[in-house]
This record gives sequence, structure tokens and C-alpha cells, in this order.
Amino acid sequence: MRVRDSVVVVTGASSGIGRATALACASAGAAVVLAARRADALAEVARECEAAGGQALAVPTDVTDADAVQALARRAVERFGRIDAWVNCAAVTAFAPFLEIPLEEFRRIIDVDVMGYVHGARAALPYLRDQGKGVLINVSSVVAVVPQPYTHAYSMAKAAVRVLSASLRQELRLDGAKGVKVCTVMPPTIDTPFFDHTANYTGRKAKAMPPVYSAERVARTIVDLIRVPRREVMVGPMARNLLMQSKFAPGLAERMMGSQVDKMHLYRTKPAPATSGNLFEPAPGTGSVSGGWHGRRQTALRRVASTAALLTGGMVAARRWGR
Amino acid sequence: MSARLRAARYLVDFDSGVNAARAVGRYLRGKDHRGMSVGPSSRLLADLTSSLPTRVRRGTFSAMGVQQGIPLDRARRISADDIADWVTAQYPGGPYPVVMIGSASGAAVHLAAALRAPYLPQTTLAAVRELGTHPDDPRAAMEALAPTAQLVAQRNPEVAVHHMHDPAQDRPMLEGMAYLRLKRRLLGRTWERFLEERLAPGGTIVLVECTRTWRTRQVGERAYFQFGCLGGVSEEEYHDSGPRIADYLARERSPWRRWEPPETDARRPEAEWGFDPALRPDLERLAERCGYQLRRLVVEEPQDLSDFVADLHRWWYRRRGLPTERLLPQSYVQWDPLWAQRLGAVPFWLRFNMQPSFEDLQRYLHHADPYDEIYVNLFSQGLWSPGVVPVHHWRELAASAARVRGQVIGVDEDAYPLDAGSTMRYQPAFAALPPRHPLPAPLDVAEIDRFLQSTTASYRLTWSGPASA
Amino acid sequence: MGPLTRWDTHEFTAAAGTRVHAALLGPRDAPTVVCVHGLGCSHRYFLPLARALRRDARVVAPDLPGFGRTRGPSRALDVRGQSRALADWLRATARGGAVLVANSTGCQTAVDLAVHSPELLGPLVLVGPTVDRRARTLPQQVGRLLADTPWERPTLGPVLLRDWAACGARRYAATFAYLLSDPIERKLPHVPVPTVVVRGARDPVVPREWAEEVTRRLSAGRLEEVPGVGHTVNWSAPERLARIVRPLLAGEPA
Repeated sequence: MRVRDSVVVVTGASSGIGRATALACASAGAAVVLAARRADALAEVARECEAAGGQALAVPTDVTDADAVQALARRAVERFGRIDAWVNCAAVTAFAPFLEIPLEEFRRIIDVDVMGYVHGARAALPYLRDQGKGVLINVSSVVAVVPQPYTHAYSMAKAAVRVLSASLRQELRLDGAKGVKVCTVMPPTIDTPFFDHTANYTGRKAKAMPPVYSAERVARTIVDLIRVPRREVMVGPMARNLLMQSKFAPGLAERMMGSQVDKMHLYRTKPAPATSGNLFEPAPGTGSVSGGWHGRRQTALRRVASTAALLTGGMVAARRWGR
Repeated sequence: MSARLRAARYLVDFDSGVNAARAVGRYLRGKDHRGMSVGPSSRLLADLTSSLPTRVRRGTFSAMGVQQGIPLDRARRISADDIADWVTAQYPGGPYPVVMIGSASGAAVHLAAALRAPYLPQTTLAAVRELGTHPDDPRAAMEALAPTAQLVAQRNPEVAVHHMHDPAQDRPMLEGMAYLRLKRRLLGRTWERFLEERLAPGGTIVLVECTRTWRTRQVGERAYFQFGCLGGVSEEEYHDSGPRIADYLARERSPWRRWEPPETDARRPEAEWGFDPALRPDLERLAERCGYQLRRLVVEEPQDLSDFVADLHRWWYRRRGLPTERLLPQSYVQWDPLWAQRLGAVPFWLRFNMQPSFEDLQRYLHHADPYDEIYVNLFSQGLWSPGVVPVHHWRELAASAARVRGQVIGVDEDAYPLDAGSTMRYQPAFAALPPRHPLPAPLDVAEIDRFLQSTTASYRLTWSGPASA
Repeated sequence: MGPLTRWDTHEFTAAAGTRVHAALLGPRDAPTVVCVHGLGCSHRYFLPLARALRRDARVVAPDLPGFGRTRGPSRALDVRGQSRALADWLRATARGGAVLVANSTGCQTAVDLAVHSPELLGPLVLVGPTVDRRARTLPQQVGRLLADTPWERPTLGPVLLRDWAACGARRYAATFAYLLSDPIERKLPHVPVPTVVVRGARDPVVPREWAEEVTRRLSAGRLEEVPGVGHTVNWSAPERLARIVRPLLAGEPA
């Protein structure tokens, strides 16, 4: 479907992937409905969206409140008449050894990352079904395929979300709602403020684990999915690699991911106090897309490097061939 | 197109509403209602079928139930709008001077044919397969089907869903399926369009309203459960059982000796024949807006229309110079307006082959001017339900009332009421009665008024006059 | 692109269960003219008319659900569905009573308003009202549309192609079927407002006798013929159409 003139609802729109998605949709000519907990941050995003050329409506929403999410859908339809795409994006996490994390924080993560998506899907699908057409996009993660240590709740939730999408796809197909599509997006590590806001009980500061991709890249994928819906999309070659690894050498992939996270996701030099992060209270400030992990620069560098490698390889091969 | 075919698939071929639409539609295309408009029509096939052993014949009735019902997973595809579309697709282009709409009734079918009016049945039957509960356990049946009834009601806001469960006369069918009758409460865009486009300007809408109600239980929004139905057993007997029911259940080798239906909470329009007045306001609005006349034909029992329509036919035939001395009582959905008119026979519709219908025919024959010939045709439902009148009683009634000849036709008397071939036999039986006549010119609505003014007989119905605009 | 090749602004309204798009041109304080497009078309082919009226009127051209830039339901709307959507949009934007200019099958949509929302009708201009009662079959209509092509400007082609692509073949066909069986002649007498029937003198889709019948059936109708043009007068002779619309703006009797 055309993104221009469509109505897109994005949860978790105050920062990171959600914010980038909202901006990308707005600049493609969509009307966007922005949902997150922080009203001031949302107002800022709404301004940016309008500057990018789309209409925007900010609806401060806590996705764990089912009624609030229903109200969000209602507001979207009252203001813009319909819902063409619903992007579930709001998520929180915690870094902690399993026995260290307070149980209520574990529950909270499941609540936001699973029930938040469930609430979103339950609010959106009646409208999409009535219209006979529409897309529900659930942002999952590669950790749904290859889980990580220290972020059990998050990995569980992301795996749950992937399965939720698949079940909904099946059910809608059986129900004859052919025009309603459900897609899962599985991004790898993304340069967002996520890691600064996170709850942490490891005693070590968290960082974005390389390779880091930019949130805009995920946003582009999501916009493409609204245009041409697909079942599941991995973002970036790294994610696809992980998927293949987990298929052909699952044990190895699991071990490698474990030690990599221990070494590279958490600083080995910077200690950090225990915190519940943004689990219960939103992070202060007006939010941003990037978390300062140089996702764009890193992507660019990787591209330059791989192009250079390819070129060199090509030249070497050409010379050999030429002889 | 595919939606229409899908609707045809989940509609039940022996339903009164479906047969009304099919019979009138085929009549307006100049065709008869042979084999209920779906099956073959052949005396040979019929006799072959009826000569099978009793258990096999009983089995064919049950098998038909299973085959007519749709699997439960397809219940969510049931669409009242597709059904409405299917109904309108039965009728050729138009425009028509009259359209009839409302409760199904064989007498109304004959009236519609006489008026050359399409007939839009308010109630149609969609059936789902149900092999899970025993026919004599209404409570379990209600609970098992409630989610499906709710689902259909919720998906189709323009209809109410009446889950009808009758282990007396529908028993063989109930062994394989559950009856969900969809009663239209809102006119809906499809029928509204039909009336706007295909009823001639200044035309008449005849609303057939049967006010019969039944004790029911609500199982969801616009979803109701009805235990029993109009037939040979009274409403009280369905709910309180008694020795006759105990006998019947013993004969059917049921583990039960009485029925224990769920508590009811209100009387609502009878599932098959009753009229839900919720539909009327939409029609009144439409009639006013488009300048149509709305005439109401109100009866208490579906059968009440029969003597009126029979006498009206007699009067109409006489005015058109046709003979009027031949009576053709037809039961349930084995109605055929084309053959009735071709044979110059006055149709008398019997709701079923049960005692109340028998008494109605008896009463009619007692009051009416005598007929020379009377040919009774009887529907077979596949078992000796309580209240079924044996063939010889019908024959004796016909023979004693007719001045020249009274017979039962198109029925295998040994097989009845498990006469599995009966639907294939009625049309050849009608066709075998010479002489034939050209179809009379159509009746118009004003003639109904004139007939009612001229007659001295009183009928148990209200025919509302033209609205004073 | 010069200032005269595009609309001033675009407006989106939550109405009729969707997000209705409308294109606007003309001064804010001028009287409103609402344009109702025909089958498979959109606001786009009203641009020449809007330009011709740009000093006198604020021309608003909405896209009916499923056409142009307004998304529609998955099942095509029938004539009543379209006119209800139009009514809902007129109410939501408080434009009831504005001058309505409808072309081709848009006339069926506009006239259908008389059935359920006559209070929303303003002075009405029916440009090439369809469908001729004596030719309500698909082959006849297709034949007439083909016969009309020599009388249309070639520039209309790309505009229509774009709009047809937006609505899609299935919706086009389904809507066409509804339009063919719509008995517009029965609704015309109920139109309570002064109405001008405009016919391109070369228009094979709307023969003269049908245009005369339409006019006759209206309670306050008059027929205007625009010489030398075909069915889509708003595209091929916008100035002359504007001359017919202008007096209605001042509330002069049609």
C-alpha cells in the first residue's frame, strides 16, 4: 500500500526506532499517531514530523494500560479517520544476572514488551479488519532467534512477539481477512538511547554491542513493510548471519553470543550502580533517535570497508584471470 | 459471485425460506419447483429410493442432515449480506409491481406467484454440522452451539440468530446438524437497493407478518435458543414432556424418557415462521421515501393464510375463466405455484403432515364450496414423530370431501413418512394430472381488496388498507 | 510548475470511516463550490474549472472513498454508500448548502443526496448526468465512452490513467455495476434545489433527449448546452462551465 496519505500509529515513538519510524513515515507523506509515555518528548517528535511534511498527533500512552491503548486507536480514528498501519515498538529491558533482578522488574519488562504488543494488536486489529486492509508491524529483535545472557525477560518477550505475529497471521488467514497483514521486524543492535535508559544490575555499564546499525535503517525497513508486507524481516547482514548460524550450528551460536555479550555488551572498564532505569518512570528529556553509538558512522565505515575489500578482491581476481 | 455460491452452500435446501425464494424465482422465470429446485425429479428414482430398507432410508435422512450442514470452522463465513444477495439473485430483472417480504409460508408463496411478486423471506436457515450432542439433550446442544450462534450474530448485526432444536419432527436432521435460523431485523443495503431499483414506481410492498411466538432463551446479543417448533407437539409438551413423549423417546431408543430444556426467559418470534417486527420500521421508512405502498398481511399462525389464499385463488381463477373445482393441498416446501396454476388447481398449503394441519384442511373443506377433485401431496420428514397423521387418514379426508375424486398423490404410502424419494416424486405426480391450462393473467393488489369486500367468509388475518398518505 | 498548475492546499478529514482527501483552490472568504467526481476519477480533473473560478469561489474537490487519494473500504461502495460518504464529509466540514458541481456518475452520487440528506444540497450543477435510462448495459456504455474519446482533450488521458490506477480495476468494475442499475430518474423529482443540467453538445454518453428528460424530471431544472465539447466539460471547457456556475454563487436563481 502507498505510505503517502496513509495513517500510521507508532508506539514507543519518543525515541529510538519508534521515533525514526514516525519521522520516516511522516516524510513519506503519512499521517502519524505518536504514542509513548513522555508528553514533552512526543510534542517534540510531532513538531519534527510536521516539519518533515506529515500530519502528526501525539497521544501520551502507557502501553501496559489496555484501556489507554484502546483509547489511542480511537483517537487515531477520530482524528484521521482510519488506521492503515500500526507499529508496535515500545520496549524496555534490563541487564542483570537472573537471580539479581527484582522480580517485579522482570514482570514489568514482560508487561511492557509482551502485553504492550498484545494491547496494541487488540486495539488495532478490529479497525484493520473492518477496513479489510492494513498492516500490523511488531518490532521484535534478533535476540528472539539467538538469545542473550543477562536480558532474559527481554529475549523471552521478543521471542513471544515473533510467535504472536505468526499466530495472528495464521488466524487472520483462516478468518478470510486477506488484506490484513502482520509482519515481524528483527533488528540487531541499533544505535538508540535504549542502552542508556536501561535497568542494570550487573555492576557494569551497558553499551551497544557492535556491529551497531542506525535506527533510520530499521525505519526504512518498516516503511518498506508498509508498502510491501512480508512475514519476517531481518535487518542488516549481521542479523541474517545470526539466523543462519542458529539454524546450522545452534550450540555454537548460543555459546558465541553468550561470551560476546559478556565481553562487548557490557563495559569491562566502566562500573555502574544498580538502577531500575526507565522501567517505571520514563527517562527525562525530550528523547532522540540516536543513542550516540555512532550507528550511522559505523554503518558507513563498514560499507566502505566491505566495498574496499570487495574491490581489492575483485582486482586481485581480475589480475590472476588476466595472466 | 463466489459469495453467492458460498451462501448457497450454507443455506439448507429443505428450508422454507430458501424454498420460497427458489420457487418464486423459478416461477418468475417460467420454471417449476421440481425436486425443491435443486434435486432431480423422477418417479423411477423416487421409487427406487423409497424401496430401500427402512434403516437405509432413515440413514439417508440423517446423512442429508450431515451433508447440508457446514463444518463449524466455516460458520464464521456465514454472511447475512451474502444471503440477501443470494435471495435477490433468484429473481429476473423486473421491475415488479409488487414485492412480498416477511415470514415464510407456502400460502404466501402461491400468493406471490399470483401477484408475480418476488418474495424476500425474512428468515433463512443456515446449518452447521453437529455430531457432539444427543438430540434429546437440549441443554447440552444449547451450550455447545452458543459460541457459534454468538459469533454469527456478532458478525452480522442485521440479523438475529435463532438456534432451533426440535428432536420431534427434525430428529434425523438433528443427528447430524444444528439449525441456525437467521432472522433479518434490518433491511440492509442489498434489499434496500433491490426495492429501490426493481420495484416499479408507485409499487406495493406486501409485508407478511406471522405473529406466532415461542418460549426462548437468550444466549448472547441477538442470539436465542428455541426448543421445539411448530409441529405436531404442543409448546407445553416440549417443555413438560409427558407419556406421549416418553413413548416416542422409547420408540426411538433414546436413553432419555423426558426432555429437560433450559429455562426460558421470554417469548420471541417463532424461529422458522414468526415475524420479527424489528424489520418493519426500515420498510416503512423506505416505502415513504420511495412512494411505495406498504400493505400488511398479519396472521397468528402460518397456516392461517392457507384458506384465504385458496379462496382467493378460486375467485381469481373464476374471473380469469379457469376451472375452480380442483384442490391441490401441498405440504411443507413441496409447493409448486407453476403446476397449481397450470392445472387450474386451487392450492391449499399444509404447514406439515401433522395433526394441526390436518384439522385445518378438514375445517376448510367443511366450510368451502365442495371441490370435484382433491389431490393431497405430503412431505416426509423421516420418522414417526408424535402427531404425524397416517396417509390413510389424509386419503379418507380427501375422498370423503371430494365430489368426484379424492386422492393422495406422489407419496409412497408404505414408506411414508420415511419416504426418502418424496421430493423427487411430487412434480411428476402434479404433471400427471390433465388437463392443463394457460397461466392466468396476474392478480393485482387491488383485486385482493375487491375479493375481501366481495366475500362473506371470515379469515383469521388482518389485511391493512393502503396507508392514507 | 507554475502556480496555476496545482491546487492551493490539500485537506484531510476524518469522515465516512476513512480519511477523506480534498483539494482546495481559491480565496478563503469566497463562496464554496464542491466538486463531485465521476467513476474512477478524482479531484484532479476539476483543476481547470477551479482555475477558471479562482477569483470568485473557493473550489473544494473531495475524493470519494476508494478514489484518488482517499482510501476506501475493501468492498466497493454502491451509489448510496458513496452519497452517504459525501454527506458525512459535507457535515464534517460544514459545507452543506454549498454549490455542488458534479460530473458524469458524480451526478448520481449528488442526486442521491436528495434521498437521505436533502438539507445538504446547495444549488446543483449536473455536468453530463449519467446513466441514460435507455442504455443501461455495459456494452452500450463502453461503446459510448469510446465514442466520446475524440471529443476529449488528449491531456485528460494521463490524468485519468493515474486515477484509474489509484482506484484499481476491481473497484472500478464493481462500482460501474452499481451505477448502471441506479434509477436516477426516480430521484430527480425529489431534488429540492435549483439545478442546471450541463451537456457537452458532442457528448455521446449523455444524448440530448436524456439530458432533456433529466431536466424535465427536476422540479427546478434548466438545460445548458456547451457547443463543441464531449462528456468532460469541466476539463475541456472550464471557462464556459465557470460562466454557468458563477451566477449560482451569488445566490441568483438558476
